[in-house]
Amino acid sequence: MRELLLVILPLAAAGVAAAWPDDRTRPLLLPVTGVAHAALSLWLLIAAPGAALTPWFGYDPLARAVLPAVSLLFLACAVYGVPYLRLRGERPNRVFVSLFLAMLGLMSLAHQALHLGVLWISVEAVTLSTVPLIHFNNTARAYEATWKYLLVGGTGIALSLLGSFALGYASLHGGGEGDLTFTALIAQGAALSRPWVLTAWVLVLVGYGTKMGLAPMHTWKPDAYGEAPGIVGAMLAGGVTTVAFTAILRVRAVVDAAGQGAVTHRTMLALGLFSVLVAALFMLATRDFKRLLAYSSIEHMGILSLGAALGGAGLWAALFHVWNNTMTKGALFLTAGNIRRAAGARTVDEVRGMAWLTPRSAMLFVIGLFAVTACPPFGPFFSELGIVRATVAGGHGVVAALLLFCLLLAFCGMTRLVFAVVDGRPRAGTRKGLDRMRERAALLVSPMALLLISMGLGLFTPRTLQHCWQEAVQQVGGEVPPAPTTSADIAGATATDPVTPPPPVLATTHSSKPRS
Amino acid sequence: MSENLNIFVGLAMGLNLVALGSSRLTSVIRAAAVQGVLLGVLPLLMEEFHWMILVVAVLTMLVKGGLIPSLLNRAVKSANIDRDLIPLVGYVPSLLLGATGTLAAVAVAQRLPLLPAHAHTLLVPGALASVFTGLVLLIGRVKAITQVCGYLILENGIYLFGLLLLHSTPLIVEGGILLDLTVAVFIIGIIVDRIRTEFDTLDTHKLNMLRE
Amino acid sequence: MNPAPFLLIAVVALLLAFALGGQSARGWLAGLLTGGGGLATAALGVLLDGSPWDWHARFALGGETVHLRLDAVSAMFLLLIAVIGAAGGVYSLTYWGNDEHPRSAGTGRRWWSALVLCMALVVNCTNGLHFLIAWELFALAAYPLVTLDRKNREARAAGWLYLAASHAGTLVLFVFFGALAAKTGSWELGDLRSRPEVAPLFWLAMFGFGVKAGLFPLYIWLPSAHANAPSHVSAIMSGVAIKMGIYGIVRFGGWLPVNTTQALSLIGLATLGTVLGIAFAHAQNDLKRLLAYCSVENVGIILIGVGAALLGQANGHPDWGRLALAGALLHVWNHGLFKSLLFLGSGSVLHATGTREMTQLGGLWRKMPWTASLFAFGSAAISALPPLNGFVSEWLIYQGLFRLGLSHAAGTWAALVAGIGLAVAGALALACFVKLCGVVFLGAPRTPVAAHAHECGTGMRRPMLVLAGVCLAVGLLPVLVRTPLEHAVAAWCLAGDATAFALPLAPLARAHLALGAALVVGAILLFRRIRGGVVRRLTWDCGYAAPAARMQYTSGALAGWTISWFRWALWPVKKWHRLDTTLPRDAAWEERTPETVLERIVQPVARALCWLGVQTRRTQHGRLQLYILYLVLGLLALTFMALGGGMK
Repeated sequence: MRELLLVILPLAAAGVAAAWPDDRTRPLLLPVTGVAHAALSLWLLIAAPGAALTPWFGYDPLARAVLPAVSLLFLACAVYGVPYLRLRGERPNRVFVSLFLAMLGLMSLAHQALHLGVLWISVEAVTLSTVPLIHFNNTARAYEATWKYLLVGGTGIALSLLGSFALGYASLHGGGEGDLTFTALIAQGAALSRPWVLTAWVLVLVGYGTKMGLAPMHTWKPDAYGEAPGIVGAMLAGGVTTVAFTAILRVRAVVDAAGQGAVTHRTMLALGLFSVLVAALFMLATRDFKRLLAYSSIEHMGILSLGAALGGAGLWAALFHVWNNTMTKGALFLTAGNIRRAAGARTVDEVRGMAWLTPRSAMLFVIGLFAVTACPPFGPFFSELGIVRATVAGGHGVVAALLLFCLLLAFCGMTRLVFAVVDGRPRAGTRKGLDRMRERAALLVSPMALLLISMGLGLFTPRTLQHCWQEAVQQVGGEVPPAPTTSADIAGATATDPVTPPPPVLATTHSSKPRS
Repeated sequence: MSENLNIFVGLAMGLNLVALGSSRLTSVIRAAAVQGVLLGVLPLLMEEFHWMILVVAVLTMLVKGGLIPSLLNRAVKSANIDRDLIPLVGYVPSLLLGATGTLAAVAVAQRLPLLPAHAHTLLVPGALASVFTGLVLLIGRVKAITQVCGYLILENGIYLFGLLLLHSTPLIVEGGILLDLTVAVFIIGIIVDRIRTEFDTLDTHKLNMLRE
Repeated sequence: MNPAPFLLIAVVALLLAFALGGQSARGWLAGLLTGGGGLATAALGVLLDGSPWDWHARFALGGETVHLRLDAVSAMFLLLIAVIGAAGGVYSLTYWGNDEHPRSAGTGRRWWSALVLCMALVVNCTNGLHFLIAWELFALAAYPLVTLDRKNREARAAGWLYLAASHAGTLVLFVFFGALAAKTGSWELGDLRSRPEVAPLFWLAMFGFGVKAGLFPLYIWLPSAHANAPSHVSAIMSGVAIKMGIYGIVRFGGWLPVNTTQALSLIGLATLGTVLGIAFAHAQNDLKRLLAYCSVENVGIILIGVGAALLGQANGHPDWGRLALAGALLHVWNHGLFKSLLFLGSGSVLHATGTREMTQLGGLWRKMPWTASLFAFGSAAISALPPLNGFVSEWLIYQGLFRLGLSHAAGTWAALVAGIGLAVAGALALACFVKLCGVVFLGAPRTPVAAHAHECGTGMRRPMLVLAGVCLAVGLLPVLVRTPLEHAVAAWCLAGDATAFALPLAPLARAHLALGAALVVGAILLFRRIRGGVVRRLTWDCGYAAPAARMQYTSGALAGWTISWFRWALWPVKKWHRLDTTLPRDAAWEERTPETVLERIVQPVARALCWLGVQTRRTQHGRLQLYILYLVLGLLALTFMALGGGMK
């Protein structure tokens, strides 16, 4: 029952928030719910429940491997939300608070959905619940962003529904019941009708890929992330994207079971690499630091897709990266919100010298920048290194080279922009911003905590989490296609000697990752 | 039964072409609305009677045929616009495109491995044609209203496809999906309304403040 | 002797220094000196004893058990870190003190201790993951130091270039360590020479570490970072930080099965870097930029030695290259010592005059006798003049090259080519430093700032004196370094082929002592003659009644010949307004040597990428219709990919 509470609790809190009379005290519901939810999900992480509650819904290993991260991020955002909403006293927050809470409940549902239909319903509901959050600022730009978010995202998610139906039809056509639970679909395995499975996979990948923000379906992302308040951006980049990612992983497990592992591998690899490339090029040229974060999110979604495509150790590292991405992106969006608020602008042409105006936020922003660009001792370093290692071990030397080249471009683009914002002499006009935003401790605690968690995750990855990811990989890992022989001698440096047996990739000291 | 079904779906496919070919916003809205109502009837034709199905069907018809069109019509009236004047893809080309797409949908559907029960219905071609039409409208038109209609038609297509699974999908899931879709369109309608007040237009050419 | 307690003390002290650095300069200094002392003791213990220290921790970091190992090779570098870290730290208290730099002095102290600590960790880590962590942390810790003067746009730009280049190197190391781990199945590092399948990875190591070391042509970040950083930072960057790159190449050259092609490529690049580095140095007018390019030259010298050792090893005769390796390792020390001395000296000049432009200086000898003498001493050492330390290491490298060249094995001709390159570079280096000392310290002051220069304080002078003293000691008594060097070379060659090996340093020591004595006697005689009275007369001045300071030879004039010899590589930019009409208005001659690799190769590529970025940016044009079209196109592409593969 605890797992059901994860859904019910925030939804009930949302109901309470909607009925709560007072604008000043209502935001307090956020941290209260956040603490309860985080405690519950951590408890479930440590003491996993037994079998799934129903065939449609349950706290399975994949949910266990990802959901607590979202829960922690929500807690951080909720703590940040109280002073933030106080700053934004001019806006009524009834809708904001209740939908923010509802979003958490729906995300918990989506992570635990074991039925394609339920999964789709909850993902779509998450999307819809974020709409008023995105236009919270109530500006024309915010509405434009919402419009694009709705239509691009809506088209994508509609296609994923089509894909879900196609998967159901694959089951029907294969002689099954058309039962859309993942267990039933996986059990049907190779009996699923192949053309329909492939159709379903492509549609679902594009659909949930849109939600994740993989290129070329990423177009809504900079707009929505740029116009939404930082706290919403954090939840979108760190929470909603993970929902779409787990959705893709779940469907992928079915497609792999149907014997199409090579296709899922190829498509996810290509999509991931393309996203990283596109995002890196955007980051070289963009001038807006909030949109920069959106592009960085696209980049990291690409990395996730790439890692997941590799299966086995790569997927393990990708799940690790989900946590790291959630924490670092959260910290970056929250601090970017502070800076944006103090500066009153978002482009390098207008914002300079924030190290003088908001020294602490600027410092956290720079630390977050290094964290997100895979510098130690923060988590992304470890997970990206794991993905690189898995790439090389899989014999994809060229992919690794391209990936790292894009990472370099992204690093150059990000540092260039962020340092331009932080350094230099502040513009005369920006000084007024300090009246709008004082750097209160309450606004800094959350990003700091997120960065600390990210660091802790990297240096002292908890055993429990490692086991969780391992189990999740076993659950959805699918078959790992053998390294293509043609690319074995590409980039000589990474060639696997065909004579020697494949090296034991996973023999690390105490996290023996499950597959090679 | 299959005959009735095919008549309904065929009508819906015809409405796709109407939506593609007409420049008046109100007729596009009407086409989408009528299509929604037609599709709402379909589950009643396909299944033995069940009160849940009735509720779902009536709700679909009410929302797609009444609520959303009236919302969109109100927006059209208050924005004082009549036609989608300079579309990105012209009316004749989009009509041709739509016709080709419909034919292609029929051809593709015959190639697809279908269950015998579905092989002779227009469900799959209808679904594909509507999805295609929806995408053409979304890509080819500049007025926000027409795009919303495109989205509606796209959803209708997916709904048609979903009918294939009507037997096997639990009704609560079906209902949830419908509810979600409805709310989505409803929210889009609200946002369209807000855009009209903020931008004083429904021309999406004006909606490109956000760019690199 | 067990170095563990000293290392522990050092780590704790340096961490304390990091914590205290912001507020208390004294506490920081105490921590830094204790840390430096601890590191030095540990290193000396291992160097004199020869047996490595190996420690497996009971705890894991990042999922890997911590494994530290300090052998004689690492200890060589550790000692250098300790000495320069301490000397530069003392220097910085006066040079970049609280009074003059209230905002950045504390930051500088903090990161200084962090840098020292991280570099110490790099040479101790024996687990690929931890090595990479320490490596990246060290690279990052140097960034705030390079950009300590954050208000200065140029310094920020230089720092950014450093960061980007260093990240490029690190990313290559990602692949290197990732591939190593994938092939061996573990992050643990160690001797892999029996596994020929990992040989190609040395290319990656060469690139990744080469960027940091300033291997030609990867040194692009080095000149501007060294020139724009505060001088004590330049000293540790040039003296120690780039040596970490060399450490990587030496370390993995010893562990990986390097083949002849790789060794030859390394020698080739190193020789090219040696000759062109000093040619570039010669062409500079900026005092610190000149020293920076000179670092490229010296890195080349060191890597020639390393490459020779690798060549010997690739031929199956590690003993051929040992002398060269010993020379290279000693040169790591020597260059660290005298280059730091020179950078600290240039810091005094900068501190006194506020400019690095040699065309603005001149005649500082009178105003700053200590700085001038120490600088001249460092210049003599770096030009490898006997009886100073530079000569000892280069002599060892020459010996090694000759031995290798006479061995008639595959590719040994390269040793002779490298030897010739080394000789050419040696001559150019002497010319270069004659020019430098002549323009900056001799003659008459060219500008008022140079005329009003002042000598540096004792806080800055003492560290320089210490460094000079060590240079002199190594030069006069090379036997002092014999045992450490022999141990380091033996540790590099590993137990299997550690046959008896003795460095022929004793005769050199005798010669140096004799030469030193002769020089002292000569100096005393000269001094006596001078004391007898020097008669000052006017030189013949071509009939000019009023010679001005601007009529002196400039640094460009002194470098003219060299620049013209190396025109094919330097691509100097000239602007020349000739006197053409009968009543000419003005005439001007301007010659500038660009950063050829950076400006002609890297920047065009970067510009092309930025152009691509701008084009990509245009796709985000705000038109929803096309966004949905992208989505459909993505759908089509994926369908194609899914079905296309299905046909196979």
